[in-house]
Amino acid sequence: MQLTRAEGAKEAEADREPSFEVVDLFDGCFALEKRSATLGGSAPLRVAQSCLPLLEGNAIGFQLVLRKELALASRLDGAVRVDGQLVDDLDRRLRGAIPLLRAQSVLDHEELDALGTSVVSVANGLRSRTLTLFTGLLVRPRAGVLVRVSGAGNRRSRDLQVKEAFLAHGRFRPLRLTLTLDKRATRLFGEVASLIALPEECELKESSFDDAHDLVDAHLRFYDANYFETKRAGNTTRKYRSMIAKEPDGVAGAFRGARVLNAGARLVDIVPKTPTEPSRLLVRNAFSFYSRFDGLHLTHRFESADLETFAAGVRTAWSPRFPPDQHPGALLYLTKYFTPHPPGEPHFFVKPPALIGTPAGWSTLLEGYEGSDYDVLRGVVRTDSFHATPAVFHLLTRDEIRIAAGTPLLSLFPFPRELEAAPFRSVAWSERGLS
Amino acid sequence: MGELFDFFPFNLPPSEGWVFLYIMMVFLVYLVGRLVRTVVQSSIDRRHAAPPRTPQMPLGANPNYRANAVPPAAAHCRLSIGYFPKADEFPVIAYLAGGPARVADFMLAEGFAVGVLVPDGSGKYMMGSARGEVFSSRFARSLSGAVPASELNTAARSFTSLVGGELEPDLRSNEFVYSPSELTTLRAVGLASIAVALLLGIARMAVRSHVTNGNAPFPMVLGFGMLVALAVGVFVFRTVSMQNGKATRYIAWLSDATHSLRMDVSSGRRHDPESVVLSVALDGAPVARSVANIPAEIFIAPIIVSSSSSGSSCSSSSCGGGGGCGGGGGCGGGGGCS
Repeated sequence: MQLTRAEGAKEAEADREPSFEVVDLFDGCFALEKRSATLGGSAPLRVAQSCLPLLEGNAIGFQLVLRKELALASRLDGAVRVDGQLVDDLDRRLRGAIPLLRAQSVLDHEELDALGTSVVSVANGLRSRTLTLFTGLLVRPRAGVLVRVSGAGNRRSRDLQVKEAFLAHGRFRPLRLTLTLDKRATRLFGEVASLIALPEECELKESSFDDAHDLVDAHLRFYDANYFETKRAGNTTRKYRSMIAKEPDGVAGAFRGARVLNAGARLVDIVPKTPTEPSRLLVRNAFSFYSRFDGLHLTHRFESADLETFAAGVRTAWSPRFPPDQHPGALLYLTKYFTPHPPGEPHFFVKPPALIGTPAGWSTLLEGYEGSDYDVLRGVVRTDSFHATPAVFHLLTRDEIRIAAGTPLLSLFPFPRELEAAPFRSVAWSERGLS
Repeated sequence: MGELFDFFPFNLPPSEGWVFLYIMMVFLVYLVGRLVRTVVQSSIDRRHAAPPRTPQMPLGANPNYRANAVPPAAAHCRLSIGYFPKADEFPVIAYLAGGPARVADFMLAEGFAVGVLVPDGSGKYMMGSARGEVFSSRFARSLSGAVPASELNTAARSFTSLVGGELEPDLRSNEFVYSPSELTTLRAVGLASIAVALLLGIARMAVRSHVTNGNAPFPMVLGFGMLVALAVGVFVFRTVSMQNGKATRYIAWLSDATHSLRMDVSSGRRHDPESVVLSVALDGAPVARSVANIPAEIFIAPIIVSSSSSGSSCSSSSCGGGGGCGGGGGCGGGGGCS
């Protein structure tokens, strides 16, 4: 019997082991949805055609979608409050659910007590308003998996920022969001956060040129003369796309994590694991610069001495290993730091002179930091084949932005691609509790 | 007594205006009496607030992924917060939520929902052929042939008043009602307040007589004021609800926990008998108006002149006169976790 393509896809989906389980106490008020890589068509055409890391970054994980509007109102003193029938309704469901959860020992007593009696609490500070929101979802990652809760990524409301949190394997944990609200926010609705499955254990280690030949060679192979010829002709090379079309040779060995080679200025640091957070690689800005988008062109201002110092460091590190017959573009790619996008796009990227290597079948999530007037976009790079991790800026204003030296740009989380494709499993909940 | 209370304002010269002072004092006494009763009631309710019960096989005990994702057959505690009630607990829930009248509505709804009561085709209703014993089965058997809707409703209310006492063991064992001693305490607070109010009037009369050497005439206005104070006191402290705070909390929780279920029933999205009859038990007859096989007319009660007290007081029907309901055995008593 032959399977149709759709049936085959369905079967493959069913075969995948879910990365986490979810109990929904609020009857679909918050839903987890898979986002399309092109953001439903709103991604720029050039990105949709060629920028696979960004497309994968758009689609990774599950979007937490608030399906009903949560109205926010400002009081006379400027403090924000949440009102409306929805909160009353959810509070009621919460009050009904807590004793059931307690009786069935679904949550720890401390967790239950922490849920309180209201799904929303607001802390109005002098400068910021923080809203804690229980989504009605209980999440339990499978063994060996962490679920990262963060902002909605490349399509999000700029009125809110989500505090990063991690849910570990064990018992179910309530999914609570801590949101910092802009004073102009009048409602919460739609995509508010992302849930991304990551490995619980991820070893990160520093490499030198001596033990990272494979990363250096791969970089030099990628940025060869043909690549730059094609670019000079104004075409997209689609080299990354064709390279990852086939899975890399070899299988993941015992090493589960990533190697980092700081080949120049040290811009990528290893942040060790803490009791509440996994280890990660942190990418920082090399030197202070200003950028402005006028609607057509992006211009950067910086001290030329800073760039020269930066470039000299890269050249010094690479010079003993740079083959004489190699196209100079492979080094230029790293030394010029800024790469513009075509006119009309409020995007550019900066490139730390670092190479990241992961085992076969592993990619790296590039999670950008959010600034007040810019975002560093979320992406996914197949770091088992391609080892650069650029930080793509998206400017949200025509005002000049300043990025200071050392500003965090990206958090890098290596993960096995099996997790990227894994679904989640819904555990049925009703007024009778779990069933 | 005249010397005992010979101080301001009791020793003011005779005046009809003193009654206004008396009214203010009585108001304060009754206010304090209500507060004291509330405090005593809260204290008793706290004693009834049992810690949450836990089943023997907790779902989350085994954290291994998917090893125990679906809960085992959970232990059940009758009429307890955190445990979805079973069908045989519904009549007690109806009683707690709305008294005997709600039990009658529940019984009718259950009868039609499970087929114990059916229309006979001529606008009347009769016993159906459904098998299995439910709360309304005995009522259906008690009907003498087919009866019209109005008679069916009257018969249900009469039947409920007859069998309502059968709910008493559940009410007692789950400590949903005050014990006789607790009721006596609560009533004593009311009686004491009334007694103090009257005592103030009597004290004034005694002091007044003392300061005038018995020459002042009988204070008719104050006497009338005392009668009014007595009537107001009886009104203010007339009833003590038999149901305690535990019953209130249980019904509040069940209402919250079944919020969407009841919305589904009232909007016609759920028709299963269990959901329908539980919704009627909690919300009354209106919630069943969208359920096809339950005729709305059966819930229209004929106007009955009755001498029995209304509301949810036990004295009307279920618990039998003034005997009240004794203390219960909690979870391990009549109900217990199975």
